[in-house]
Amino acid sequence: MRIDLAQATRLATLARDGDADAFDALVAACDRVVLELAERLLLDHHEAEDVRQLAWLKAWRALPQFDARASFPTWLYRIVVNACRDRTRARQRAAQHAGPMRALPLALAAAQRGPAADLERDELRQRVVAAVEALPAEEREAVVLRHFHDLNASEIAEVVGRPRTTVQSCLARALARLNFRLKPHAGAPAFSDPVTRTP
Amino acid sequence: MSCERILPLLPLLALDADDSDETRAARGHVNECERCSAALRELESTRADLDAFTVADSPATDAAEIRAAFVPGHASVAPAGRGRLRWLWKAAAAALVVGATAGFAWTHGSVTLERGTATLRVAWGANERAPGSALDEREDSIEPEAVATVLVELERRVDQLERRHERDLLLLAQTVDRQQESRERGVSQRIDSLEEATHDGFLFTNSVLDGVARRLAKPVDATGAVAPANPENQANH
Repeated sequence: MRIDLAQATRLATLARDGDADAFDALVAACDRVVLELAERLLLDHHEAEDVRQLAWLKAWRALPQFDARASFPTWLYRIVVNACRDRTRARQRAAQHAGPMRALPLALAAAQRGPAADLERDELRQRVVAAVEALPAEEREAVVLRHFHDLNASEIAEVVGRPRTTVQSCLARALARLNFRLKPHAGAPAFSDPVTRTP
Repeated sequence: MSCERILPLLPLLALDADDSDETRAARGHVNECERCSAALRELESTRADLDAFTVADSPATDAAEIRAAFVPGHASVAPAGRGRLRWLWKAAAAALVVGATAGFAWTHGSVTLERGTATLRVAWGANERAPGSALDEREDSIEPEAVATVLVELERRVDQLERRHERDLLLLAQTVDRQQESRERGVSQRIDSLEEATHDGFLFTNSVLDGVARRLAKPVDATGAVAPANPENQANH
């Protein structure tokens, strides 16, 4: 799902200049996208809802600094990604203090809350969520922004704050890892384990 | 382009994430090579599987509630660390201003009390004993204008100090920002170079392993030496 760039930037500019209705329209247009991005990065629906709320608060507070020449979606994605990083760090700290009992398999928990149309689809979803969870954070960010939000490598680089070449490396490694996990018996030997050569 | 050079590019082709000349050339190769074409199809299928990662519905955010939370622009969204640093400097600047004000008052102090037509002035510090000073001469006939003059001077000095410290704080913040940007740029460049080196390492390892695999696949004679390749097979290969 991709935000309509021109419409969102126009609404953001109006909202920045004090148009409350424009801000409401902006939230309505981008709310679902923010939730989806947060959930796919955090792999937890409830935490994603919290982060969505937080991201909108941050966006509203920082709106006066928004430059109309910039792309609003990129600006908003950056806020969401940073909020997710903060949440992940907080979660890791909490897990360290609470011991192993708190470190539940988040992917499984998230999968159980997903909309399961049928068993087969639910099973695939669980496997995909587990594979995405196994990715390093920077690869997960890159592949989620590319596949689900249709951002190109340059836009992703701007959102995650890394060079374009690094983003491309992340994307290539991420898809190779996902392929290895999701299609372990597939026939292409080059991608049986292209990155680490370990199972 | 050889298949070995194409393989690392296939994930970018499957994600449609690169439009460089090299990737375009790779696509041309894939169209003619069955092996690379199969690998690309597999990666595209993996990408399609990602669509199974759906997100459940959730009540929409109440924009009015967000707007009611606070006035936009009221507070900055600076990182907590730098925010704390600024508060520290603000506190230090405030302490300095208070100290300077107290020092100025100590050397130039005077207090005037008025009750109806009666006026009492108490002066201390340098001005009190300065022989021939304007304040000293008028000590017995206290005029509100003199007090006002002192207060205006006091305010002017405080303003000067505040401006100077604000400027110092701004310069300090800019310096800190520049240092942080420089450090981040250095780390980013280092990560890039490490990634490139790692990537080259993987390519080299892959090529070595492929070579070993090919070597193992060749027939070995009784002495353990690799038998010469069959020219027919080589041509077919």
